[in-house]
Amino acid sequence: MNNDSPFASWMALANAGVLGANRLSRLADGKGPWRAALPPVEDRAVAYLHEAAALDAYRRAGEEPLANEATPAPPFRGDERVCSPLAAMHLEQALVFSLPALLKQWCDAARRADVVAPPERIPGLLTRATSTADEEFRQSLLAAAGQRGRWLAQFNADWRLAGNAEISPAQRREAWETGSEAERLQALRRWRLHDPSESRDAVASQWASDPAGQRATFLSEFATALSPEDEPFLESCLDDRSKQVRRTAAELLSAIPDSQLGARLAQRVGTWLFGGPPEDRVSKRLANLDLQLPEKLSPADLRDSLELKAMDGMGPMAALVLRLASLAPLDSWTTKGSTAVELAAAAAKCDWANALTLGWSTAAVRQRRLDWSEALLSETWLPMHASLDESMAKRQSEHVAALLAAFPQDKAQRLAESALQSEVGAATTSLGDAVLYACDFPWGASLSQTATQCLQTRLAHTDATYDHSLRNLLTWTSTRIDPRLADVIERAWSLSQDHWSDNLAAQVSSTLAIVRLRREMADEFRTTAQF
Amino acid sequence: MMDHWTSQRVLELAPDAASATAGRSQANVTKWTSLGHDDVALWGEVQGSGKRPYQVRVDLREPAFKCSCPSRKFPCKHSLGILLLWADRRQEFAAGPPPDWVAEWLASREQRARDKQQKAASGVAKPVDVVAQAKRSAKREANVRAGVEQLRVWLTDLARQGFAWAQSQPNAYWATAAARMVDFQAPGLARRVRELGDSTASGAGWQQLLLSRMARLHLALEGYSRLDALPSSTRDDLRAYVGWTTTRDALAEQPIETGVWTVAGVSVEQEDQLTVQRTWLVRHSDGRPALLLDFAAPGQTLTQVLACGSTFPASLTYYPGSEPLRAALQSRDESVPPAPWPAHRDLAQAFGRFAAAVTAHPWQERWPMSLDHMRLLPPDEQRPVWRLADRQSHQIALASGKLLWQLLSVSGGHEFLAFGEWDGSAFDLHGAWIENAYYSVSRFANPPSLVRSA
Repeated sequence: MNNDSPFASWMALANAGVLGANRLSRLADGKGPWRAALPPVEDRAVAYLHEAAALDAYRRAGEEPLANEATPAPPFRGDERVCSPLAAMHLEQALVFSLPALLKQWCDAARRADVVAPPERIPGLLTRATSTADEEFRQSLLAAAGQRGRWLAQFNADWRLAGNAEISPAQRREAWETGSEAERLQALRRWRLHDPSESRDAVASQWASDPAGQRATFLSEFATALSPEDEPFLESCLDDRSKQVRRTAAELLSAIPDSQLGARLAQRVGTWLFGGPPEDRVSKRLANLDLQLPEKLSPADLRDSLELKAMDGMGPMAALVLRLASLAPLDSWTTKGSTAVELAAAAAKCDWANALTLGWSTAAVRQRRLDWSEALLSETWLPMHASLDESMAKRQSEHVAALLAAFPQDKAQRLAESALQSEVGAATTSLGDAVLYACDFPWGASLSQTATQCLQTRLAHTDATYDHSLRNLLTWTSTRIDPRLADVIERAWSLSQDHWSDNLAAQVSSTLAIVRLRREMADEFRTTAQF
Repeated sequence: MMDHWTSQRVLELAPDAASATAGRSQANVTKWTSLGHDDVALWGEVQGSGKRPYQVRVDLREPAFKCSCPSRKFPCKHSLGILLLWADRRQEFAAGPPPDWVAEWLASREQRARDKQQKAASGVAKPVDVVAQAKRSAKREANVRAGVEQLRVWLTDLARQGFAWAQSQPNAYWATAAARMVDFQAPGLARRVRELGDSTASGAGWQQLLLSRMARLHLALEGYSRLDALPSSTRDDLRAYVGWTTTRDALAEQPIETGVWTVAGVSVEQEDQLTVQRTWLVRHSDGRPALLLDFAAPGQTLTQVLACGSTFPASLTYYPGSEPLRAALQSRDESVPPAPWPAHRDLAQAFGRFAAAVTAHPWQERWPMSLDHMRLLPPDEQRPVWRLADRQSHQIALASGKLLWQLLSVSGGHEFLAFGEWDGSAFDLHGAWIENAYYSVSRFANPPSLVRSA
């Protein structure tokens, strides 16, 4: 132990101490300055402790800060306006409620008012932006984080990876070629937004080497910016080994107008529905929607993603009809002159009622046909809902929601309202829920009033506490209902409270708090925007 | 004074996280049958679970609370609730003169404050049997010395046997030695013995930790055995180390330090069974720090609640020692707006001060530092830890936490004044002055979060 540096001596002492001062043959006679004042002692253990005490104090007093070699990154310089303190508090409250829709509303309102979130909240926004799959929500959060958020993201690997900082095409290509599955998906997603054809080529080039699951996932991204240019590649995917890939390709092709798949399916509709016989038989068939289905499917049929296989509680024939109806161009059903409304009404009465209704509902959404959507809603789903059989009732919410969501907000609200009007007296209703969930936008005054009354009825019901769908609906309503009606809602809902459980009461109270918060948020942004 | 209440600041006053949540639930206008305010106070009546509504009063100057509910928590959820309402929905409060039950309380507070000042000024102490007290002291002193001697022997034996042997000892080995120190009326030594035991289980590098703790304990024991030959300030340090408490009378004899102080950091820790609240105050004129300690046994709640960033003129007395840090608050006045205080211009200067402190008082565990012109450096490939860097190209490591991202966001990479504690290896940040606002670490948010207090 000749090394005199304090650190080396300290480590030597520590090592020696492991076995104990007993075992020390002799203590070091080094020359460290800390020994100067040590009294000599015989007992080795005491001498050891003396040395340790002196060296410990010596080292601590002599401690120096480390040298900093790196140059720090340039600090943030920006000129964005931060929101008012009251708006900042609203943001904190919105974060506590932890509802993405509410947070999005704050962020969007801030963007409209041309202000950003306070700096201490930005990491929270960036973390949420990283973990959400909802692209619109992500963009809202990033906008609220502002320039400072972009500056901050460069220092954190997770935030960078999620693509919050600007990434160049070169980085995107690198992520696509060498990244993990999640990274490649993220890269593809952004790529598809910026350059659909280049991203398609990228997917095509890796096609042979990617496993089936990944191929299907990547293919579904083609739903973004889908165009006729994608058709050749998608057509080739109909020959893919994986069934999932073929299905996805067929679904995407059915959304492209005038596609070859569409033409082939239209032909089948013509053949199987109309056959080709004289007029009167045609009109009879039309009236009954009597489909002549083949006993066996040809390879071409299978390639076009048609199957004779029982599925989802339907027999093989019905499943085939459903598939056909969901994929074929809707115009192919109306070639002989009948309208969507007439067909929908006819379908309700024929043997294939469920299959056609479900299939057409899917097609109407995919092919963006509002005429068909309206026909299906007004002829089939809404008037019939009371008499839907079990299998249809299960799917009603999903399809009604999808159909309604395609409409512009005004129309959707009117349809929703008329559906709800019939529900106001009912105690429990899944249709009411479905139409409200379909209206994923801020509700106007009229729909809000109707919804308030519906909920009031449900809350007043003696079984309200056990109504679990009510809880979800309350949460949904809290972020969509018109906040200007806050007082009206409060009065309407607090009328009957005795039979509520504590949990339900807490939830109602939380719903009211959220509505009030939204009103205050809107007021505050409006006031500050004036300056 | 009236205007700087935000819901975050109110929630920081809550004694624990459950109370913060309960306070929020009380911040509902429909529960309150009356709400009023004047220039200095708030009041209201809230419907609780009892028949009659509870009466709640808040003096905004400190703040101070009084509620008629039976809760033993302080401040209770009703007090927090009314203050939250004041922060969010001021319009619900009717302005006007206070009702009797509020005016009485305010008057009695003022009376008590006057009495206390008078008492401090006149120095009236209750009569005490001086002889008996001296006898007790002497007896304890003899006891403590005997304990110190015994511990010296025990520690030497430990060094003889070695660390490996120490690590293999069962819990009872340490617990018994600690219990013996309690019997000798030296609770401070008992704590150090327990810490020695803990260090054997502290993971990588435990040998060095054990060695440094043994070293410091040895130094203290040696010192105590020749107490009379040491300077009086070191005697005070050693007596505090061993566990002697300073009596109120002795504290009253210390000089009074006045000034305008800001609450720079508050943290709550568990020390064995006890809950300890550490409140750091810093004086505006010279940046001198003071540590207020509040204790609560299990089941009790802490009584003194000071919000970070609050600033007020006050008189403190420091506990005696060579590097006084711990202090007691003797009196205080109304709050005033906060402002930054003088700080070390760079790390070299701060470390120089630390060196002086450790030289005078080698048993320092955590040393408060105010550091100016610091920049926050996030982890990168070369150094995967957060650091503070000064203008002279020096840096120190930070005790990490998610709130450092918030700090980086707020500071934007620019310089700021940091306040925290240095423990020899990492800097535990309590607060920072950034662009004329003081940001501090909130007590309850988990993970810890940065709160703008001014």
